[in-house]
Amino acid sequence: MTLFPTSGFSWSRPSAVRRTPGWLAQSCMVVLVLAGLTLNSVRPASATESAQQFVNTLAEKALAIVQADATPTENRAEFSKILDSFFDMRGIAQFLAGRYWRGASEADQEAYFKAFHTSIVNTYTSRFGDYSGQKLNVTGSREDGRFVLVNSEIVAPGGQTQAVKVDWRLLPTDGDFKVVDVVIEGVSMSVTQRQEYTALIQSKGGELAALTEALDQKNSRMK
Amino acid sequence: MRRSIAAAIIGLGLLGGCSAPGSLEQGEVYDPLEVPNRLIFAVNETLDIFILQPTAYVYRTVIPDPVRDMVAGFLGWIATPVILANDAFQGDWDGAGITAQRFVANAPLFGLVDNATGLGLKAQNEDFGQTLGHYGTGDGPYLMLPVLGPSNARDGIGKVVDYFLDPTRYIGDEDVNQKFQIGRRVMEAVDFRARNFDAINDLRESSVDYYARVRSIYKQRRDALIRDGEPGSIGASSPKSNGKEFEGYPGKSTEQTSSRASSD
Repeated sequence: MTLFPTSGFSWSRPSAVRRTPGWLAQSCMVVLVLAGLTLNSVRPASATESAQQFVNTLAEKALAIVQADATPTENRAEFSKILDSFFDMRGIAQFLAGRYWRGASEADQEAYFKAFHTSIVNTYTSRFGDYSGQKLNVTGSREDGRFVLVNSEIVAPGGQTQAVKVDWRLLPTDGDFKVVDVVIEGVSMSVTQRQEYTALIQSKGGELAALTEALDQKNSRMK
Repeated sequence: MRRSIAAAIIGLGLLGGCSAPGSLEQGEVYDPLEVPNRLIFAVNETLDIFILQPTAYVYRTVIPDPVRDMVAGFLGWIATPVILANDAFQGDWDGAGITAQRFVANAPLFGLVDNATGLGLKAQNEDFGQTLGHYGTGDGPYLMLPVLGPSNARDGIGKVVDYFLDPTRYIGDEDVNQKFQIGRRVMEAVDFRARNFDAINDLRESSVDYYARVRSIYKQRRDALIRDGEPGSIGASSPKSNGKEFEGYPGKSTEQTSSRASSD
């Protein structure tokens, strides 16, 4: 099973987040073409390596926003951009709705997606104030089915308090990655949220619209 | 009172052992007692909002950082014998060694100053619920315990066993000791709430079904603790991941793809 059936070049990124200079990518391509037959055997290693690079880039971008002296509205806009380019927001939204996704109309799905997106932005931007100089170190990675898992640690500046382990579940997409899940000290954000969302929908009669309503209420209160 | 709670927990535990959770989705928590659990959860929440949270707030505002560290250190130190026993029960001799060394290294000042962590002896997190889990005992039904919070049949039994295992219970005058034990548990709760003050409030405020959120977090956290004796090794460092939950993750084959998200 290959991870990149279409592109084969795992470091090419969407233009917004490109960090590799063009000439470098080109010379790498030449090397790869020369490497020819060994390409298949080196691909898995480079896939997880570029996954690590992806998480590093994401951390840098996020840190830049958190440290910027911006208004809450600006923060929300910037954070929203990061979410859209680094996270598989549509896939996550669908995953969190569980079996209730399919039964909903397209309009209901879209309304839910909007409410979900806003709630994620609100929840995380409201915590920007908690930041006090922590750093993220990538510590390893491996493939897991069609995903790549990247391990990292968040370390406090003094190094006094224990590091917090954060694992990233990435979905390879056309030579790039999208975050599907973040696991903090063994607790998966996506699994937790899925359990919460489906429990709420279940208790409110099994309609996706009930979740949308609850999220909208939450969102208007958090503004 | 305590006895009857213990008996109830064990009784429920036996029940749970018999009835296997049948049609659970991947990652779902077996919660046949959801209605009473939610009721108890609501009571616990009220207690938190009116008693524990304000107390924790005053505690962390009034008491300086180093003093709170000493309190936490002392509470941790007197908890080490139970951790040591469970390290041993699980055959984790490395962990047992570390726990024993921690106990000795921190003994001169009763744990008030934590020298052990600086010596590379990281605090272990073990209890009898984890020991049972280590040997393959399932969770059993999810339980919301009054005052004590989220648990399940296995961990409830674990709590009872840990209670009797604890050597600090058998020291000195029984009356005085009982007061000490209560004070200790109260301080543990206040310390925990104070250290996680904003995190817990955020968790509550941002949720649409706080009960369901706590239930899922509790299970995942316990699973992670049982799996490796060390939290957070769910990913690449552990051969077992929670990847099964993601088997149903929407893929490129479905109508929803993610490529449009990066169009800027």
